[in-house]
Amino acid sequence: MSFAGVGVSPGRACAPAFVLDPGGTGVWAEDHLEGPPERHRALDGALEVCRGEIDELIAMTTSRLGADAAAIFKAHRLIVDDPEWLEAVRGRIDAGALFPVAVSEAAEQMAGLLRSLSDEYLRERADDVLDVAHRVLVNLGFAQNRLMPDPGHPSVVLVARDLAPSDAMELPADVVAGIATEMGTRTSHAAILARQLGIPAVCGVARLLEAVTPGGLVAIDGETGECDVDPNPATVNHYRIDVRAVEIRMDPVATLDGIEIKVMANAANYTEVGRAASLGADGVGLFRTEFLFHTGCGLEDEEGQVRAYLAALEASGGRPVTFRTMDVGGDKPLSGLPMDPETNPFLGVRGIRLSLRRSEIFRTQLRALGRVALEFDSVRVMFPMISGLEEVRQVRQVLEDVPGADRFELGAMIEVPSAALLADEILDEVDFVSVGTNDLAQYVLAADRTNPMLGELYHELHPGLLRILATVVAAGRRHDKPVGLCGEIAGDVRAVPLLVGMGFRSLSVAPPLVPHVKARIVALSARRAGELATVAARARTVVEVEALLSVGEEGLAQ
Amino acid sequence: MNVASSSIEVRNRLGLHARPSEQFVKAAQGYESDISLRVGDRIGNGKSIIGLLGLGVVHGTILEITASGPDACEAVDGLAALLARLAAEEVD
Repeated sequence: MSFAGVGVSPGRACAPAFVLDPGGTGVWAEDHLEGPPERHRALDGALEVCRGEIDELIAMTTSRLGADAAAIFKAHRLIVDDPEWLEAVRGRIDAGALFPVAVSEAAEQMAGLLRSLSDEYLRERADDVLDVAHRVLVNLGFAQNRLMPDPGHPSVVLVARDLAPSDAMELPADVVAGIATEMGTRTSHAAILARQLGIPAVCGVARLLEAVTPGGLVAIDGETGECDVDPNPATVNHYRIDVRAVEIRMDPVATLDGIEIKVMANAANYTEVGRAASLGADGVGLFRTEFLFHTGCGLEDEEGQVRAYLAALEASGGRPVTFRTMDVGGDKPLSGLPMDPETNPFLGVRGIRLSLRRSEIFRTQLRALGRVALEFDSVRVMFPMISGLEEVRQVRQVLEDVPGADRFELGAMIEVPSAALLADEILDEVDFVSVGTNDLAQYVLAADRTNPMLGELYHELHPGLLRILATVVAAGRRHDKPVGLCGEIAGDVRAVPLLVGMGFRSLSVAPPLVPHVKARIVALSARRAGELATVAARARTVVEVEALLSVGEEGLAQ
Repeated sequence: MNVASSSIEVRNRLGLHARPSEQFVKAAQGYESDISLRVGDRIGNGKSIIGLLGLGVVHGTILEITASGPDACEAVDGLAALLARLAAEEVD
């Protein structure tokens, strides 16, 4: 049976349906809370937990999908503390309402206000208010999270009436081949996230749930919006051949004039590594180990880490995996690792600074990595927030009595300006460096990239930053050691010619971008890109650099 | 008590969506003054994301910002400048 929906995220999928239960609101006769004072306290407690959860969601979304995608959850963070909503909740509590009734009625009131608007995007924001209210209720046991397929479950098409943005971020991306929902539009946050996660999706399929049986085949085309329930065998093949706009290149690629450029992927768990491998990534350029700690209830023990690292290496299929040791700090807090408050966490105890101070946690992580290095040849380990040789040497000292560590390919992240300027000296003592442009840019420009007032100052192609990057690339050339780049800018396809021209030979990007970056490289002449970089090195302003990015594909081909 | 007020045309192509509205509310919360917003006959609290979104600000909407409190002038100037910048950023 064929349905017409709206294609909101390109790609095709055909798999058994996994029907997400509607997760309706319950009816509450009592809440076991005694009177308004206790309900106010319960609200305060639940809000506090929600703040922490959303902060983690922001951190996870930022590093997986970038700051733009995380804006959704930053809005959620504001809703948690929204004065209008809280006033409505507290007013109902004072009037004697049960806790869950007060929360859901107040949220419904706010959502109703938004639904009355004529702008489609603003109407969709009603779901954000309800999503946050649901989170508050879940935290006090008044509602339950919807049951998602487990990681490792065979591939499914997720079918639901609607998908909340936080549901979308919790999707096991390796399991969910596609998404089909009755509600939602192109501007639903879930649709936005599906596009960024690279999962084909169709929204607005009327009466879909009536037609679907759990486990029955569902096929979707995220471009045309077609949705087929129990498709006949002839159409199944049509949906299974995913004609993406970009060819997936499984082998390493080279420029037109034969310069090989490795395109690696950023990942935080083995499913993302597997996905990257299937999209032709030449390895993992940045494996963010701190997310292993975020998903557990506390700090992962050595055995748990060994399992996670082995799984990542297996998923990578022999291609190298670059493990970055735990990068947390005051700005990226970790539940289970309380830290002293700092006035300036970005300049505080984070990254390697924290690891060297909490050496029991650091040693556990290195021992786990050492054990997997005894089984795999392709283990690269790099350290975040290195500022100079002192830290490199301290790390080396810790590594001395870690079995297996002599098999690591050892690297330093270049994200502190002093390390960039000392790249020569650092490369004397490590095997490779990888430039983290997100942090390097904010330190070089003295501009917090999350501060909206400074938006125009923070720019990953600022001429000042380009000159520092050139220093690092030159050091790599002198030592004949690899200099990689991982950061948002590597995934900006427009910037690829400039980065290749500057001399970067390895770029690490979000998995769905791998085929796009590879496609750009094979259409590029490294010689022409080098000329572009020479011009860029003389740029005086951001505008001058930006102008160079618009040089078309033809202009850089020969 | 100081009161300051200013009307600004919102020039963002899509009105105030997730990122700009989040930035606006965060900035508004940074001022001590109460911030009230008016579009036609709808009035919203400028420190509330729901209040702001509920005004239905789209491209071309005239938004009246009124601040009352010790830093009312700074608040109105700062928020007006922020709106202008949010629109300008979109152009790139």
